[in-house]
Amino acid sequence: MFELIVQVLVYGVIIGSVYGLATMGLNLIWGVMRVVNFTHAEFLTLGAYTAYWAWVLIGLNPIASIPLSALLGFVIGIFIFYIIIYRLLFSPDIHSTLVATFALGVALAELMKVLWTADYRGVPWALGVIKYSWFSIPITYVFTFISCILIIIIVYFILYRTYFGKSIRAVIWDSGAAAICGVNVKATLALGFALGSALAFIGGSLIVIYLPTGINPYMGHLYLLRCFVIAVVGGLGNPWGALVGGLVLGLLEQVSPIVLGYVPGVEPLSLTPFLSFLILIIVLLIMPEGILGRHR
Amino acid sequence: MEDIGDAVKKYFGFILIYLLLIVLSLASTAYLEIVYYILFLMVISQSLNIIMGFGGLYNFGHAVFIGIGAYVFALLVVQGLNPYLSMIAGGIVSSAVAFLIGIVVLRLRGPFFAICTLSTVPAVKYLIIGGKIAGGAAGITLFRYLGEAYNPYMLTYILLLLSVIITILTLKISISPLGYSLKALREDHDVAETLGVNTTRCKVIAFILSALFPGVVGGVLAFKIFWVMPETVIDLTWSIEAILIVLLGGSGTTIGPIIGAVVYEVLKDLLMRYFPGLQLLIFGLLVVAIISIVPEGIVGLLKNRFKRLREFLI
Amino acid sequence: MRSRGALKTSYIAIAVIIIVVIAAIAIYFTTMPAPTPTPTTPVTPTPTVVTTPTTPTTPTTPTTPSPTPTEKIPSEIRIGIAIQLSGAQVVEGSSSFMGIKCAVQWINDRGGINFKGVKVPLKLIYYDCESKRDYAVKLVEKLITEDKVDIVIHPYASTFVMATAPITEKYKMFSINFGGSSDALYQQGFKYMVSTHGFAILHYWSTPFTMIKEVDPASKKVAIVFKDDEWGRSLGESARTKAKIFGFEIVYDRSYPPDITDATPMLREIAALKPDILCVGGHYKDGYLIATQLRDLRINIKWVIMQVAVSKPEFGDGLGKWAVGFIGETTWEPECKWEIIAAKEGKEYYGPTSDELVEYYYKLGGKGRPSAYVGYGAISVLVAAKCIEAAQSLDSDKLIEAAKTLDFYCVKSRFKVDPENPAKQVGSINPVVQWQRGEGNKLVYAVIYPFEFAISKPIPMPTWEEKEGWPELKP
Repeated sequence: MFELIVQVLVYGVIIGSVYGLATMGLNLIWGVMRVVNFTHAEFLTLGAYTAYWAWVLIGLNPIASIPLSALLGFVIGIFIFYIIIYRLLFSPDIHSTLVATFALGVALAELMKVLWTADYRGVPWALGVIKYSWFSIPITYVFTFISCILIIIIVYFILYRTYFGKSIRAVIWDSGAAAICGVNVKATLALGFALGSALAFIGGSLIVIYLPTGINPYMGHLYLLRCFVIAVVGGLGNPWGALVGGLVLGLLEQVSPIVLGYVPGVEPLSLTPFLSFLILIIVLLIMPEGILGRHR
Repeated sequence: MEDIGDAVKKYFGFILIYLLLIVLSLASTAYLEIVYYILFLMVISQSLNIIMGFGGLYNFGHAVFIGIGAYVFALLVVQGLNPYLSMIAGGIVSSAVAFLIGIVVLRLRGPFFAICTLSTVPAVKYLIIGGKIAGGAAGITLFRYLGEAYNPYMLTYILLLLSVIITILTLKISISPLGYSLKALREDHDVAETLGVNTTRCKVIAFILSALFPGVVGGVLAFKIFWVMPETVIDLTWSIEAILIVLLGGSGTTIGPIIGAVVYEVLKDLLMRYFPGLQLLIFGLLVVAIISIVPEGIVGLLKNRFKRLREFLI
Repeated sequence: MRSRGALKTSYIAIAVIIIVVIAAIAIYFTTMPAPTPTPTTPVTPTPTVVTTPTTPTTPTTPTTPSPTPTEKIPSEIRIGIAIQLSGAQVVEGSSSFMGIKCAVQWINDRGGINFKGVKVPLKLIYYDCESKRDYAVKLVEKLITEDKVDIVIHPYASTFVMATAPITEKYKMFSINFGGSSDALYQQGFKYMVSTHGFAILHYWSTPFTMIKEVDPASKKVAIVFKDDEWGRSLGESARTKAKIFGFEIVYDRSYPPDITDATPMLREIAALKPDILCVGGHYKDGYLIATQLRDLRINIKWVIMQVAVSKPEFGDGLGKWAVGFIGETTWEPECKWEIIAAKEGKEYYGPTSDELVEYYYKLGGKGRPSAYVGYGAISVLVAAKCIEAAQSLDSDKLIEAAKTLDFYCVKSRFKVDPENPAKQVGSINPVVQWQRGEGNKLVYAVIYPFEFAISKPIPMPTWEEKEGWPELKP
């Protein structure tokens, strides 16, 4: 029993941190410009493909390709922001950005299908396993966790120690007041979006470590539901909320199959996503700001 | 009180399109299939228009209603009930489920509503699979019960009838107090509340109405494919296509989804022939373009450019 | 306020526009081309096409006694298929189609089918249904009503067959199901459909279990995991039933969601129960995931049987030396030599041998190692030909009656249907394969059962620790 708890905790925390990192971008973008970025799924997929192509063409393992993903994500984020998002931020219909990002996501997924076909690809990166009597964990998972921590620290530095980080936080808090204080809101929005997209790309690269053969243009949607749950549970406006939500979901996914195993007549592993959806609804109804959300 | 001229002008577009579809469906079995698709998408989009076009709530989970209708149909047919009655039952149950989902979900605004409804699609799929409901992933096969009664013409004309009914319904709603209330709360929820509109009641009614027809269509779908399982009857693509068609045609107008469905299917067919595999890509970009440049859709565009057509396009 | 006159002119203008629009749409629809390249036949012109038995030089014979007073001998026998040549099932569809083409070519190279004393060639009429069920329905309708085919072969995959079967049944058209292995297909009461493929619940797991019983009778405990979709569930049920029949003890029996990304909770539970045999029923992606997680968690199980994933070359490419020991159940491999077993049982063997089929595969442009689907496709045509020869007629009722009497071996094992229910194939046998370590550090994909044509013996799965010490293996 003790071994089970430790295994569950360790695996849960590790995958939770990856989910959290992947969702931080979503939280950030919502916080900065009140836009739900439905293209998030495709950003994750693009990040995964970046890791894949880096592996195939240059031989970089997924962790080493993180800077590449981040850069690519940043550039693409800025591009998309200026071409599409900026126009729609001030339109009277609040759904414009929603539908636009969604449609853009669909277009990107199809583009990937055309370019790289819908075949499943994988990055078979394995470094062996750390085994300690009854406990074993792949070394790649350990590296993933360390990278997550590092990236979180970097993001913290960006947000709390640089000027732009400060302006992002100001715009999250109150964009009008920020403008009065001389913050270049437009540039901040662009940067916020680009940062969010970079984080999504990094998340995608890290997810590859868990997916020995699951990379395909539509994989983003598998994670989108999880990302929404994490974002809402953690608190949409707050990037750290994503981490909290990620940990919650990561642990839930490890624990719930065990618990559901005792319920007769259901399939525990298949019912777990439905549980996460229930939690989404409950949180949306009771506590829409989430755990770390701002109480306006 | 309108004179004949105005009445004809108002219904001209509808009659024209319906006649065209009937003629085409009789031309050959291949065209019959095309007309079936157009009508399938048309009914779904028209019903989505009620909640999305009038109410301004983007229901990404519209496909779930189709799935529910299909499952109810399958379960009843297996018990021996007449298929046509089962279709109607599918619609009714779908509306009931919409009521239950609605009272929970309709409190959410804008993007939260979209996220929630988008999540219902995989959630229902996992519920059916994980909870082993109605055969779980294996679903229900129907050929034993329906094989002899299969008649593609009948199915297509049922869809045609549904489309006509929903058109009339939409026309009635758009000039009714419900319609005006919906448009008011679409524009500004809080102001509508202060003006005395019972927004919750209106939203729930609109949601129920928007679920009724997809439920029946689910039965038609099940009749066509003979195998009801999560992957065949709950498909997010339909939600996306419905939203696309409503936007393309003109959100909030009555003839918008009709025109949108025809244009969409024709475009899709053309694209499939000349740029196979690229149609969704082009449509994605198209939607982005529409949202940015022409948010009023085809109908809106025509109305602005050709003032004479105003009376025809409602 | 407009005057009546102006109203009338605007009406006319609009009416003109409408008429133009209708004309344009009509032109569009009437010039709608065929959905795919127009029906072509890959048949090379055969020298022995004989259409009628009339002697060509007697000018004044009013009637020549034709051999059968009821049925004319056609100049060609038309087989129609709407197959997935693009879209989601393009891999399976095009491989199966290649098998079909090879079989048609094989038959036509021998002159064709023996029909009432003459050899009649086969003509293949096909369309690409683009992996869309509704499209396949439309195309099958077209094949029957417009192209007037004699026999229909259903598309690959059970859900497609379920969609197109009502059409063939409606027209009472003799049809062949080669790629639908869901047991639901023979429970619908189809009267004119013949299946050539084994079914999940009827056939799968029999051969691996038989093999394990022979090689390691001491193995007792079985853990079953399966994907929670229609195919996986059937495999799960099949494993359950067969395990009981073979006297195994089921210690674990659970499903996993179709798009599973992490199987570790499940695998940990299984490891704790220490089973001898692990049965995994699913598709490629999840199978591969489970294989890698078994490795990462260092879970050692003596016999691991995994459907679908193991029989793909990508499995060996991706896992390298770690793939050694995984057992899979396949349907056709180029190494199969069913003619040996046919001779042993005194039954007929019809059609090309596996080697001949592979020859045709490369002749018709196939690349790489032919996949199992080539065998699927080939048997469909061979069965059609056999039924026609046995019935000596193209009438659906006669063909179905003939199908019920057949019992023969061919390139894809045995064909025998249930006489009460021709859609239920009962004779099919699935060979068993295993990835093994060959000489010179090679990764070998070996057929290990039936023992008559196995190329090596089955081995229990080497432990992960042992495999860690190995050098990298290459195929």
